[in-house]
Amino acid sequence: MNSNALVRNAPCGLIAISPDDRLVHANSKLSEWLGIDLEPLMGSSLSSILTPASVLFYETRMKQVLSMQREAMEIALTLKRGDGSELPALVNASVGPDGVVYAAVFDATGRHNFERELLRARREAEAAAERVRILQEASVALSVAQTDESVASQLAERARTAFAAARVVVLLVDERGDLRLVGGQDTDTADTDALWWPVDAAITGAAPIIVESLDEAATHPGLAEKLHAARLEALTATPIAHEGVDLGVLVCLFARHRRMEPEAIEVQEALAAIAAEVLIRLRLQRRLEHLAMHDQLTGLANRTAMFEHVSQAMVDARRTGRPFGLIFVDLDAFKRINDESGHVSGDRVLTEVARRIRGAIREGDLAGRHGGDEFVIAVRNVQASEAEVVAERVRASIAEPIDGVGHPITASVGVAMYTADRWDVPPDVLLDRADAAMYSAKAAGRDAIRFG
Amino acid sequence: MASWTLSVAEVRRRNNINEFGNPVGRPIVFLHGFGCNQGVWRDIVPTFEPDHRIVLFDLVGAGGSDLSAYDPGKYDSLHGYAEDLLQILEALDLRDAVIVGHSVSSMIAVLAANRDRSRIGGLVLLGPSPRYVNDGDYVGGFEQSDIDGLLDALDLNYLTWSQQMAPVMAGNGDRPEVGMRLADNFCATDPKIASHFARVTFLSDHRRDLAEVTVPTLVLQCRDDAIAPTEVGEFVHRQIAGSHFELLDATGHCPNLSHPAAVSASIARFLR
Repeated sequence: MNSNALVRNAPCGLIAISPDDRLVHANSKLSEWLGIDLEPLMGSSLSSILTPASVLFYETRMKQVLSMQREAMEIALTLKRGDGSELPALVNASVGPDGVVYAAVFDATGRHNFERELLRARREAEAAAERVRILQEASVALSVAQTDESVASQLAERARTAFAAARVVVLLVDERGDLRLVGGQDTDTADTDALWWPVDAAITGAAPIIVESLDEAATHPGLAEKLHAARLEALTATPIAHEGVDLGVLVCLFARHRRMEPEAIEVQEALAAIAAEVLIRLRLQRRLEHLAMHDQLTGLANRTAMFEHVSQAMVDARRTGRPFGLIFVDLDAFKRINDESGHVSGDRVLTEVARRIRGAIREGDLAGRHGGDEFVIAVRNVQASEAEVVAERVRASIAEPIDGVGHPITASVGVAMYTADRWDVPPDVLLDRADAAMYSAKAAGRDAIRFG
Repeated sequence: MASWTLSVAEVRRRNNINEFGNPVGRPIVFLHGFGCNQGVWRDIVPTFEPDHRIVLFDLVGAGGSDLSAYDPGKYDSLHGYAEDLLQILEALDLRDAVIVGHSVSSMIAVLAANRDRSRIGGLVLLGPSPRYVNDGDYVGGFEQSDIDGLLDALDLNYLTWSQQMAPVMAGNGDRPEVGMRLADNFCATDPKIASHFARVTFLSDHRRDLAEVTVPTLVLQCRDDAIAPTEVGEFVHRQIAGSHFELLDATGHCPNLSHPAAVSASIARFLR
């Protein structure tokens, strides 16, 4: 027996490929397997016996490996049979000293289906595990968020990683009902009108808006151009909503055209739902905090909040050496309104007075309702003369007629300054002094200001 | 964006930058394509060493690059790689650089030049294709199902790869100075990254970016390139106004490996 017999009869295909990717030799076993006479194919390119996917793989991957490492073992490639069917194969290849690639081809039909099944199952399992991981991690990260901004930026970061998005922006509906950019990478295109179209569409609809390519974007005027200018090609806009309440939109921007798999969209919706729950919880929390610190009738700070604020203002004053003023306001003859016109009118007067006080004080000053018809104002970083200006504005604004109230409302105002000589005075003593000054104003004929 | 604040050393480390040649010569930056790393230029580099400053690097995710820098969002398109290329040009303070991009990296070079051409003096596109998937009248050479098949092949092969891709270096004994520095991690790759890069490479569409190219450009096309057919190379040439087109006396998709002399000669002519 000679080596030709070995080449001819060995239970594997043998093939030689020239350095410029031409078939130069094949044994008869390979011809037999492929059901074609390979002789006439000598000199033609590899694509005559490989599927396009395998040509891609061979040319872009295996060839470079062979060139670098001189051999490659157990490479899965798919050959084309004469009848158009496919022959899954495992290939061992090495580069000879002449630069020719010598390869042995093994029929892998037996393990092919098994491997495909394995691959499919593994991909599905990995994808499912990945989806669970994304949602779990997002759930944990978002549950500790204490602000809307933190929810938005966490959501943006999670979404960007999960969907390999070039950029993600999160827009939330603020207290006034306006949509504003809260989280995620800012984009120089975020303020262009066209880009807001999918956002508007998402906020008004229940389902995500999906734009997979610039061709699809072309259905909306200007969108494709804007995306291209921003080096973007695709996007999704997923509504963030909770039981019919629109909270915002999660916008993922992609720099190449993308097929949006239904599973990925489901994950986006689930992420948006997690964020929505946290946003609702934060809203409730803010509402409760507001209730705990505010007077319900007037919306001004309540006594607890005022005490905390004044304590802190005292610390700041001592630290900075800048005095502050505490103004005590008591309405004159308020009891008469309650008695003559009833509590509803009384409440209306209190609400109006609160509104006027708010308008009369400076930004950074804090007004509170001390109880009944008494109000307290903390005026920071002022000398007595400046505190008096504020006190006078408050007095004058209250003295303006109130619609529907028969007789004029006025206020007696007392001011106590927290100055260096009083650094050791506690908050309640300062309050007493302001209160006492207010009584001096009352004693002086009401509608007046006194210092104490 | 935070990544613009990377130091020069960080950029060098991220992209495993290696420099050769004449430090005061006109710079040439070589970009490897899908499936390998900067080592694919080993037979091209020597021709240009006497007269040129040569910069090789690995795309993030490939070779000796910093895998921790692989941000899937950033690298979900070739724009992310183009951004890196521009950073490299700036970090190394290269001027009038010639960018040689193989395969998918030819499009990375195009995107970088379109974004900021201030440091780029010319482009050499070796086996370029702006879109691999056929689309209407446009023949890219492949169908979506072929790309899916490639992704399957990548996944099916990754187990055997991880065993094979131990840093073995052969056939480079005559140029140890280049070979030694490039020997590590040859073609090794993380399967997840390889799969993602395959998607980005073969499913991107940059046809409309070609017309925006304004730097001198050479399109180098191989005969019988199964990945980037001659029609595609001609399409690229037609789309880039004023570009030169050269049909190499070479076949296949990796002439830098199979026909280095022909590739070097064409690049050298372009440089003159």
